[in-house]
Amino acid sequence: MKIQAFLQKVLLLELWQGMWVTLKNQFRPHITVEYPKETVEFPPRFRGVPRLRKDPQTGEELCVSCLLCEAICPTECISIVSEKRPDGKGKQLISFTINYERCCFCGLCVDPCPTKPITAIYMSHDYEFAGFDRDSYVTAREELVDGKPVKIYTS
Amino acid sequence: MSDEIKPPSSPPGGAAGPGQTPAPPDAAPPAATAPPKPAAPAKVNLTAEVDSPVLRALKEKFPQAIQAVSFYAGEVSVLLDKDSLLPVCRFLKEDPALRLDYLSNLCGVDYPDREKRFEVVYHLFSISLSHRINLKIQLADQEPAPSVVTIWRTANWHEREAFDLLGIPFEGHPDLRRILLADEWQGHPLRKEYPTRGYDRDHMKLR
Amino acid sequence: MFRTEMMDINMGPQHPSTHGVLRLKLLLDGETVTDTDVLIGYLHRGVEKLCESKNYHMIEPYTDRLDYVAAMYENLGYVETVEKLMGITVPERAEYIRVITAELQRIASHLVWLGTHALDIGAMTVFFYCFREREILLDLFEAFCGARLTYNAYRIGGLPWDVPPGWTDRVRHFVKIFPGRQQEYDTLLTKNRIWLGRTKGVGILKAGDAIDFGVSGPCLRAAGVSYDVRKAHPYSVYDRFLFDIPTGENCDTYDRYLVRMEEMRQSLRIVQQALDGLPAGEVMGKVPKRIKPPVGEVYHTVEGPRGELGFYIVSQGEDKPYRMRFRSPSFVNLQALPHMVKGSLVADVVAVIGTLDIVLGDVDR
Repeated sequence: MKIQAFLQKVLLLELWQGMWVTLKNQFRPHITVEYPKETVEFPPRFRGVPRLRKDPQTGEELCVSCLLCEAICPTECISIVSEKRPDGKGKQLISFTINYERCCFCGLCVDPCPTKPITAIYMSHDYEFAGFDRDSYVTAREELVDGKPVKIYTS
Repeated sequence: MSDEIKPPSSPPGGAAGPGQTPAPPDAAPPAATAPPKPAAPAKVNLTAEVDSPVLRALKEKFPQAIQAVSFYAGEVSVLLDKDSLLPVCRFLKEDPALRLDYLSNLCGVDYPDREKRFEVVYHLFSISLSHRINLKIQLADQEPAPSVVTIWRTANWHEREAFDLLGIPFEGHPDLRRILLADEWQGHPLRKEYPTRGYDRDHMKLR
Repeated sequence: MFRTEMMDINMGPQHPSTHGVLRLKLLLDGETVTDTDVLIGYLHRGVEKLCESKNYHMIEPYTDRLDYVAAMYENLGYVETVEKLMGITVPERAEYIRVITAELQRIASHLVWLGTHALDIGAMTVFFYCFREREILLDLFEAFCGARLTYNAYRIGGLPWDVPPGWTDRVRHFVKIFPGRQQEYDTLLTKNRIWLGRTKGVGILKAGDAIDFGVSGPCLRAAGVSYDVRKAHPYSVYDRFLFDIPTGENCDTYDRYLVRMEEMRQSLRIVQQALDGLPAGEVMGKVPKRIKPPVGEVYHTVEGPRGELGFYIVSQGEDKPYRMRFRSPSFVNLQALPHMVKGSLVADVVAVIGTLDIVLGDVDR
């Protein structure tokens, strides 16, 4: 027993075992990606910046300006202005603004959206939003629907 | 006490047992049977009275100190006379049948409409016996609360935080100064009259 | 001729080993720490005040940002507290998925702890391996709820979504490969003489002191006190799973390391059992559209990776909490730091901060 402990002390056995683990790991495949050149794949539920969308078939506006997303937003980053439709049925959207500077990407605004089965507001997969001034993060409806022109860093 | 509001589907040895033995309670094998769907969850009475050994002992020992008792979701809260807080706490900690040795949480609540606006809440827990009790005292503005640092050292930072955010002074605290905010900060943010919003530019302004 | 004097050393708030913005004022006698003043609050965001002006749905994203290393637990504790406040029953399937994600989160959090703790002490390799395995877990969380760090994964009364198709198989795969990976960390550290030298007998916190200081979680269990909220007050469906509470004997940094390593294995056991017993059915219970709890107050605790995570909500019958208080384990555990480092060397302060496993977002709130 004593000899074994002595040998362990002199021969640095446990350190060599650790080295062996490190050596084995040299031959494992890489799990990192070279980010600007390539990106990882996102799962369908990935929460990027919230965007608006139109009905993909008819091209009509989906948002019914119910103000539910504005009410539930914890950071108050959504602002909706609407008016009564001239024919008296429902409301018409005048402006829909999201301030991406404040958005915390929690996805709570999508939950109460009443337009079924496609919600008017959705969490897109865009995430590259570096900018040089704060005002450029206030995004109006047109950009929300079509996708704000984003400088793409990935090729 | 989370089992208080849940339908009694838990196997024996759960919350009722001492829960201290490392040997796991003989739980039903989760894989074998699909967990039985509990019968329609009846409307639970959240404010139902529960039996608590701590409350019984308190009523016996300090009948004059208890001002009110309230129950909610299986928790027992006892409103105490401010002057008897220290003897009660010492008794609760040292009594061999109660042994509430763990001060789980201490915080203040502000009720500006009341005559005595502050309430300090002590959440006590016994590690060896697994029972809880909540104690409360009420204080007027600037009225000092007795510090329990000598009984549970963990109260030190909790009391500093209550002093910092609510402005409750604690008498007998060894080192009462601000903890989360800067030393030169004005006001106490968790008071109800303290504004939540500061100045803000119109953040929805379009370019 | 020779004159000695005490020296004040300022450590932090911008110091890599303080895991955030913790500032320590150390009073040194030579290289021995004689007194420590812990200064916190550099990350104070006033979440408790903010919660008083938000309704119950809006608060959950804020809880993500308290303990950002284990945000699943903040979510879990918060929604369970509101459910307790309102007497809501959660569907079985939702409870099981909550347990699975929460236990995976415990492993992910302990992996961050192990990697950074070893990095602080000087073992760099473990850091890379831990983060490699954590990446698998974060991918799982991302597939489940769409975010990698601030999950907002649960809702009051259940879950917003069921698990995506194929998700449970990926979890099973992780449960299968992880023990082998953990064996590697074991080989690298557990018998390593440098690791032993840096952790054995360092930062001793005896059971009596630990309870007195309100320390919870692995730091308390390493002192031999087998207190775990999952056993003492089983919440969710934890009373259906078999698992052990690992405890230590020597109350030192090395024992806390062993306890956390064993906790990861026990978490895997729970995940395995929950996967096997995962019932079918709904994931969202019956919840009123407007969350308006009756007048009352509850204090609910869950066992987070760092210890007892408590939530105290006072409701006045409105749709906003009247008072919200987070009893964060990091805040309480950090209080024991001056006691633990007294009389030890400056280099050991780094080891003790690492072993307490604090997250400054949780400390300062």
